[in-house]
Amino acid sequence: MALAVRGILRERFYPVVQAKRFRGKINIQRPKPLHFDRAVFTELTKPWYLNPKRLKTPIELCSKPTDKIIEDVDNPYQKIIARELRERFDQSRLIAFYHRNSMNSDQQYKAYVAFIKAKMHIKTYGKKTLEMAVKDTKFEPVLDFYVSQNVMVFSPEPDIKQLLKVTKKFPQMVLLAAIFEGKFISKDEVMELHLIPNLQTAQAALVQTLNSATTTLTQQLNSHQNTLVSNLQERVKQLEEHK
Amino acid sequence: MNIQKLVLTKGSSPLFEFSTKLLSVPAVSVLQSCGMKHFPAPPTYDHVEIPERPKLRFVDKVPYYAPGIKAPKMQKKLRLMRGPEPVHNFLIHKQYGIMALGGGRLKWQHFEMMRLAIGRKIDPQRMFAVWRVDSPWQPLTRKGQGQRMGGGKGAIDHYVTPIKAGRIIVEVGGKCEYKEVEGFLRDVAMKLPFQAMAVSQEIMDKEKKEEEWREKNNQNYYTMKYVMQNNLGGCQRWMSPFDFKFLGKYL
Repeated sequence: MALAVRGILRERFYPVVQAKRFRGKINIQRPKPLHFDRAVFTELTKPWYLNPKRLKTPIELCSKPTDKIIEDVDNPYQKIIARELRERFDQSRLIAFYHRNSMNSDQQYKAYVAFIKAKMHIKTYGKKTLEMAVKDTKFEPVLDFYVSQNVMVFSPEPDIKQLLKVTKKFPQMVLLAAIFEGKFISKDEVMELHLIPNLQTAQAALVQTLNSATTTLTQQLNSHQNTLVSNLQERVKQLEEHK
Repeated sequence: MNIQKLVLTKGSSPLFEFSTKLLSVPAVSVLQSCGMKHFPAPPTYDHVEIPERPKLRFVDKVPYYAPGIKAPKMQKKLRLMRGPEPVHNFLIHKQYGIMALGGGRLKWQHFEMMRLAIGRKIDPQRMFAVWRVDSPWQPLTRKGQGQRMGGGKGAIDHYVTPIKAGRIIVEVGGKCEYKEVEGFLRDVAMKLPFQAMAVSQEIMDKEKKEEEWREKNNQNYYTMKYVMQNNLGGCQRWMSPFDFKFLGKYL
């Protein structure tokens, strides 16, 4: 037994865990250069990401991105202008749409003054404002010919004669169409309406046509009497002159 | 008031799409369009309350001890500068401030520099500034010049405030925009003894989001965290206790 004990004591026993103090004094302002092993680990564990351009076609990469153009989502001022335009559409009895070729500011001003004198208002609006004003209304077809330089003339009175009189002086303003008493009319129809006289005259003409049958009848019946009367009157005149 | 806008429209031929993709150059038409200028309302700062004393208060050079008490000396405690700031890492007033990007110590001279520089630049009527750090409290000792080792711990030379990375040092707020304060905040940040930057709430939110994105979309499976936690390459052999805590992110 003593031999066994001695044998055990002779075997050196090394502990598995050894305490080791860590000298953690670092200079936070001037950090030590990394040990090679640590530097290798740092380099290998550096993050990398997939290129967002990898799945894009050359066209998408080379053309200008459309999503960068910021559209005004809510422009209160534009809403106000659109509302004003809508009111004008509802209140004016005659609205004329023009294409405006290039003209001097002087000419533009003269046109403005000429229309004002005829009690009409010449207005220029952007397509977006017009869209805001007339979308989902009966005036929506206006947007179809609102391409390039467009101008609108609003008149509270449906005075086509005056409108065409003023328009004639400015050849750069090309009449496209009009809205007369809430109805769309083309340029040809405007010309037709221009030839028609005013309401009273038209009514008088209608009355005349209605009465035409009776008037011709009375005329024919009274023709002989009328000729006799006129001849006698002539004779009376002759005799008076002779005296 | 109208502004010119360039609206790009892509021309597409729906009938022969396949052939166009192969052969022809896709048409891109450019249509110039005019739009109505939008003047958005300026931001309101009605929710911001300006305190009575808008400027930074004076900080003491030496902390107050009751009379009769000898000023105690302290260990170096470098751990107070190491690692991320867990508590004071957000803006209270949610406006603008200076954030430390590294660890360090603020002396009284730094406090004075900040106080005077910011005090000069802010408009006290509509802006204010507050400290987000304590006045110097940690005593640093120094032995006399040429003294040999031994003879006890040196005498207290000055006091400092230890700062960790991510700490907010000073906050500026009021009825002002970031552009107004960015200039002088950055100047002050450059003068601090550690890396620092001028921040706003937006910047911090953006950075947080980007950090989340980076973590999520990192294609490298073997991050430092993974490597250290799983003892890849036997790295735990040379890792310090701070590495076990900060996993290689902080010094």
